[in-house]
Amino acid sequence: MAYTPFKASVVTPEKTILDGEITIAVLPADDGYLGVLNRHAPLVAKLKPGILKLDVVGKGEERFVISGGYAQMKDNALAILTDDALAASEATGELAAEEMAKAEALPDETESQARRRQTAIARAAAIAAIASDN
Amino acid sequence: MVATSRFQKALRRAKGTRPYVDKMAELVASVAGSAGPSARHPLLKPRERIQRVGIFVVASNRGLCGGYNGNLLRLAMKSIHEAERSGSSVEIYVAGKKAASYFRFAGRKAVNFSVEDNAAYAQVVELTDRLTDDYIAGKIDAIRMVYMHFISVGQQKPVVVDLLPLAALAKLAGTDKAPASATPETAGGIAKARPKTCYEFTPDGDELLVDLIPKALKALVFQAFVEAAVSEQIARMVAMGAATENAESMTKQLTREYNRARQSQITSELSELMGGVEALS
Repeated sequence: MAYTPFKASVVTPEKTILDGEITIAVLPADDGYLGVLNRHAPLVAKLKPGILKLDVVGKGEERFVISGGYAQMKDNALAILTDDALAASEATGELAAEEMAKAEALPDETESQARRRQTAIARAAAIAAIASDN
Repeated sequence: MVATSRFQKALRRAKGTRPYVDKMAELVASVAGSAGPSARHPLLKPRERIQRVGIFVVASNRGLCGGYNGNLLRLAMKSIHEAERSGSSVEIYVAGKKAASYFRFAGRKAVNFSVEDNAAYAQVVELTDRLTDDYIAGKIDAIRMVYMHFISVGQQKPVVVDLLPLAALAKLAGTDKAPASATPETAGGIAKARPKTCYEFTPDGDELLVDLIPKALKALVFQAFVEAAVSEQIARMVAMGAATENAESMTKQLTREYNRARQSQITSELSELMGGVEALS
């Protein structure tokens, strides 16, 4: 069935990745994947590193590897804030291996370093997962 | 010319970060408005006794940008002296080689974060985490950041902002909460006050806020870095423009002097020649 489109944006600190209309969003929420359709109730969700799926109007399904962040649904517009979003088309096996090696080489002496390392590892795993799908 | 294209790039970048920072502020406001007493968060609560103050200076890596670093460091020194006068010891944190070498010259110890010219978000995250760690560990009781605030292309100003405790955010949370606690006025049985958006949170509001505050802090610091980069390029552009102008006027003056000297030499040679001819005849 055809879904009604609604506004959505994906922003990182560096740039705006997407600002347009989508029909479905599947978010990697902290407690499991979460689907968002038109007229979803106001929502604030924490996202974990994983795969974000969006059905963009006129473009079809687009997937991104995100390294955690937040999603906010407000006035029927979805805003996704993430530190980093990598388009699925850019994810390759080599990149995943490279990122994993880099992530594992990160120090984890302090709590914040350990947290960064874990996020990086989870992100690399998500890149690997998306790369094997491609 | 080089500075101009760099400036355009930096400005584009600054505009690119705007949506993220704005959305982050909106997110914090809406979570803080609905969540419990947010002031309990360690990053929000002001400490009773401030013994050690951290001053974090965001300067440039390279020179040749006029008074940019000078103005910045003057303000930094002023706030350092102020903190020392009020009886607290000062811990200096710097980003940018110019600030690092300045404090080395001044004989003050400073923690140096080496950051590239166009700092990536990941780098900012790392240094903000280090600042936060020091704050939570009690090494410092407050952090102030000194950076060049970008107002417009024609105006930039060095400013000192309180980074930790995050007073700005606490205020934001406070103002958002006020209308919620106020009793909604009813007229003819219909609530006049616009109903506040009631959010669904995953995980719950308090937990989200605990996670969000450090993120918002990073967004704030990143914004400062990006603004500082734009201001630096503007300062460099102005300095380089002035230098070019100066060089041009100097060339003009030197050419004139050279021509005058040459002319007088020719004149004296000619008169010598004429004198010789006259003596012979």
